[in-house]
This record gives sequence, structure tokens and C-alpha cells, in this order.
Amino acid sequence: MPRNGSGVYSLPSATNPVVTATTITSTWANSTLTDVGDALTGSVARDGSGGMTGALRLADGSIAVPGIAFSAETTTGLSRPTTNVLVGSVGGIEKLRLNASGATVTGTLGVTGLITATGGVSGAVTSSSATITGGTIDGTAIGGTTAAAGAFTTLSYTSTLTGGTGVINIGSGQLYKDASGNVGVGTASPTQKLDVNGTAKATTFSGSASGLTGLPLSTGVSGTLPVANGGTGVTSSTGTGSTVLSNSPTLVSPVLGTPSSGNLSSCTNIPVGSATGTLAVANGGTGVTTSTGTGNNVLSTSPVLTTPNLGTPSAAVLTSATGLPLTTGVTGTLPIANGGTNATTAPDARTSLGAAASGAVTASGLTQGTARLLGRTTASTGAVEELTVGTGLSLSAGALAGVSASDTVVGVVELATSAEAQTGTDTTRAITPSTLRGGLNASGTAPIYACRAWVNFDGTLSTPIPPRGNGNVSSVTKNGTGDYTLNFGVGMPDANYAALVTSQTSITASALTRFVSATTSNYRFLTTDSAGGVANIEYIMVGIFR
Amino acid sequence: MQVIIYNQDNGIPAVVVPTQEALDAHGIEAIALKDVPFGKPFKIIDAADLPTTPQETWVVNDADLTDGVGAESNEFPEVQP
Repeated sequence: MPRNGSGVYSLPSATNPVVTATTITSTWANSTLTDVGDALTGSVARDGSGGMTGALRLADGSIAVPGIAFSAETTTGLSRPTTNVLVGSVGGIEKLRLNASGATVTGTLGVTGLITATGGVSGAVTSSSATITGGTIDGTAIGGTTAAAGAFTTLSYTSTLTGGTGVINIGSGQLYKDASGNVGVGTASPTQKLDVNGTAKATTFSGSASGLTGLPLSTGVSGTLPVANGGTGVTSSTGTGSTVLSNSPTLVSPVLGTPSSGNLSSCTNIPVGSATGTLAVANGGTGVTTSTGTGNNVLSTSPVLTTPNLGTPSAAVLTSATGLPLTTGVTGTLPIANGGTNATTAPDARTSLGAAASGAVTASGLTQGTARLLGRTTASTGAVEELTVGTGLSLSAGALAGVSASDTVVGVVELATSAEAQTGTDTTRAITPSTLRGGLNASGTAPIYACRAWVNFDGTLSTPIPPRGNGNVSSVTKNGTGDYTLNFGVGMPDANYAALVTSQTSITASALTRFVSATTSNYRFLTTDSAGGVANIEYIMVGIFR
Repeated sequence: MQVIIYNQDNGIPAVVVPTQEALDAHGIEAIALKDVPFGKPFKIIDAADLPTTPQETWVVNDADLTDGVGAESNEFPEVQP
């Protein structure tokens, strides 16, 4: 019967235990001893022969007394102080610990073969006294390309080298890192972070370079440092003293000299009193170098210009200027184009305006320039077109003499006397309401009404002939025997006029007339003989009054 | 001289004798248009062609009155200057 899970062996229960006072048979002996032999065969021999065929499980032990130890030294061996931890103890002291994170060696790790650390080396060498002395470092151990042991020809890192505050000395100072972190090239005693004992060469350089001292600027640096890089952009200079920067508080010296251009915005306290040259008007100056008079400058928005006097400017615009002393303080001539007469005397003014120097001014003789000076309804040259006077125009006696009015000329007309009106031969004098009455030989004050149409015609019309005389009559229509219509040349204002009709055939004969109709355009009547019968009458005279 | 004739409503021809004043200012055609009653056709003829008999005996065919028709206005048209 094999051992149970706890390693306890038990004799076969079927034949054991043996009953007291019974005979031990061969059957019992053979089966029981065979079972014991099998159990012994399955156990580990002390000399180790046969070896283990299953897992060897031991007591955990401790770091001081390892579970696997030696008879001669029970404090050196392996123990399992806790779960997932295997500790190697030497003399009861931990020297090697294996756990889920890896392995930790306490004390010096001496390796005669290669150390291959594909995961990098971190904290493995932490002691300040960890010095690799004697022998060589195979380059492949730390990334070199030379597989064989010996001095590495190329040392390269593709990952970050962390830790390590100790000294790295390659080639006796060819590349040296001291404990403070200073790196020397060509020196084993770097005094700065990078101390190069020799010529340094680089394609670019970055960093503030603050604290960079000792550069042989006066002897060892050549070329031009651009302004953009903090230089002056030039290789030569003049004068002495400090460089003037843009935010220099006060520029004492040197003086500005005579720069060809510049920008002095916000510049105050300029000693303009001693400045020379001319400041153009466009730049806020006067454009002149001399001045006259005293007082303040006159600006365009000065409220009242009292002094100085305008003097004799060659040009000026006096829009809205009032109070000009035209009668006393203005001299010279104002051109016609500017609204003047271009003259200083009245005759000259008349001549300048195109009229005779003296005498009457006629429309055809009075011309002007381009302005609407006198009698022009449009702003153009030419004869006077109209002359309108409101009030205040007075003419001296004879001023308009020689401009007599006629039936074709507008001019001065003299009033006719009553006698002249009665004579009725004057063609130049005008009738007034008073002389009209005399001209008509109408005395007294009774109103005068005019004959608006009249006619004297032969009513027989055996052979029609024009009327003997007429006024405002366009025709006489003979409607039939003794039946006539008087057609007015211009119609009457209404039909309420008075018609005076006489008709007579001879001195002794008598005739009558009869009214037929009256309209504004004609008057119809009949003529009869003395017996009252309608008859053609030789002398018919009609007058229409209204 | 020329006169204007037209038929009155009673059938008797009327004779319009223009004045020299009107002839000079407007002409006989304008006188005819103004003085012939509105709508009446008229004829301008020589006075010598008129019969010597009383005009009540005259007969004038309207078809012969071909020189115009009396206008509605009894005023001469404005004379343009």
C-alpha cells in the first residue's frame, strides 16, 4: 500500500495486524513484505541514488536557518521566508533574494562571464564604491558592437542610462564623468558640466548661454553678428562710450548729429530753440526759417483774428467773412468774374461791363462777363435779357432820353395832352384815362361805352358786294328777302348788347326793322318797307353797343 | 367777289357776304367755317354767278355744297404770331 498524501505508510489492512496466537503464514508474509518493499522502493535513498521521481517539498526554514542547509553548516542554504520569495543565506545572512520582481544580490556581484541585461540596468550598481577595476568590459554587455571581450570600440545607448552618480572614466580622461555630474572631454578633472580640453566643434548651439564667459571676443571671434541675433550687424564703429539701446532712459551723448531720417515720436524736451533747418508744414512746422511780428501763431480755427493784419496776401479765401471795410479799407479792382466791375470809376465800370462810358445804357449795348451781374437770366455772356428793379430805382431827368417808344420799340413814352388826343395825329404820345375822354370829344363825366361792332351795307344784294364799311363784322348773311344776319368778327361777351339798326331806301321812303335773334356771335334782323312787309333795303346801318 | 352759300333749314339758300376786314385777316374759308351754321355744307362761289331772282326761288342741291361744313365754333381760330 503506498504512502498517503501526508507521506504516512500503513501495512495492508486485510492481513494486518496479525491476530495473537495465530500462525503467520507465507501468504501474510509474502504480501506484507512485498508491500513494505514497494514503499521502501518509493522513498529517497540517503545517498541520493535513484533520485526523486516527484516534487521535493521541504520545510520553509528561515534566513537564519534555511530549509535547505548543510549538515556542516545549517545557516547556509535556501529558505522560503514568505510566499513567492526564495532567499539564499550565507552564514544566516541574506545574500540573494528571488521574488516576482526579480533577483536582488546583497554584496559584491562578481561575474566572470557576460552580464546580459536585455531589460536594461537600473539600480543594480548603487554603491558609491562600486568600481569596476581590473579586466575589461565586454562592449556587448552594455550595448557595444564587439562581441569579444576587450576594450569596446563603440559605445552606444539606445535607451536612457539612469542612475549612477559615480565616476565614469573612459580612456584615462578621454571621456570623464565625475561624481558631481561634470563631464570632461580630454580631461579627468572637469570643473563644469562640460569641460573640453581642446577644440570643440558643433553644427548648432542652443541654450541661453547665460554665464558664458571668457570668450576671446576681441581676438578670437570673427564675422558679423546680425542684429536679429543680438549683434549690431556691422563690423565697424565710430565714437566711444556705451551702446545706446532702444529703452535707454536718457540719451546724453553722443548727439544725434545729422541723421538723414528718424522717428522722434513721443520725444519731449527737444531744444527747439537752438534747432536749425526748416520743419515742413506737412511735418507740423511752418515751412519757413524767418518770421516777423510777435505774439502767438494763428491757427485755422482761431476764434477771432485781431492781429496781425492780413497785409497783402497773394491769395486767400474769405468765405463768410463779414465786416470788411469796403468803403475805406479795400483797394484795387474786383474782376467781373468775381462779381465786380473790374474798374475803379463809374465810366470805367460801364466800359468794363460793355456799355458806353456815358449816356443811356441800352439792352444791346450792355453786356457782361460770365457772371449774372446785370440783367442776365443765365450765367453766360451776352446782351442784357431782363432788368428787374424792386424799389429804389430813380432816374434823373433825361436819363432815358433818346429811347422813345414806338409800335416796335420798348422805350420812354410821353403822355399826350387832351388837345393832342383830340387832334389824333401824334404817333409817339400815350393816351391817359383823362385824355382819352378828350380824344373822344366826350365832355362831362358820364361813362363812355364803345361800339363793339358796326356795319353799313346794301341790303338789296342783287349783286352781292362787300359792306360799305364795317368794324368787327366778319360777314353779312342774307337769309332771304329782308332777312339778314350780322356775324361778329369777335364774339360779344354776352347776348345782352344793344343793336341800333337803321334802314332806308331813299330820303323820302321809310323803312322799319324787326329783331329776330341775338347771340354772342351774330345778330339777326328783318327789314320792312313802310307798309311793314319784308323787303330788301338798300341802306342798312347797324351798330352794336355793350 | 366771292360769297358763301348754304341751305337753311327752311330750304332757302343763304348768301354770306364776307367783309374785307375779315377777308384780310382770315380768308374766306375761315369765314365760311365760322359764320355758316354748324353742320351745314357750304360752297364758295363767285357773286356774279348768283341768280338775279329772289333767293326764295333758288334751289341748291346739297351735293353741290362741297367746299366744307360749318364748324361748331363761332370764333376764328387763334392766329399764330
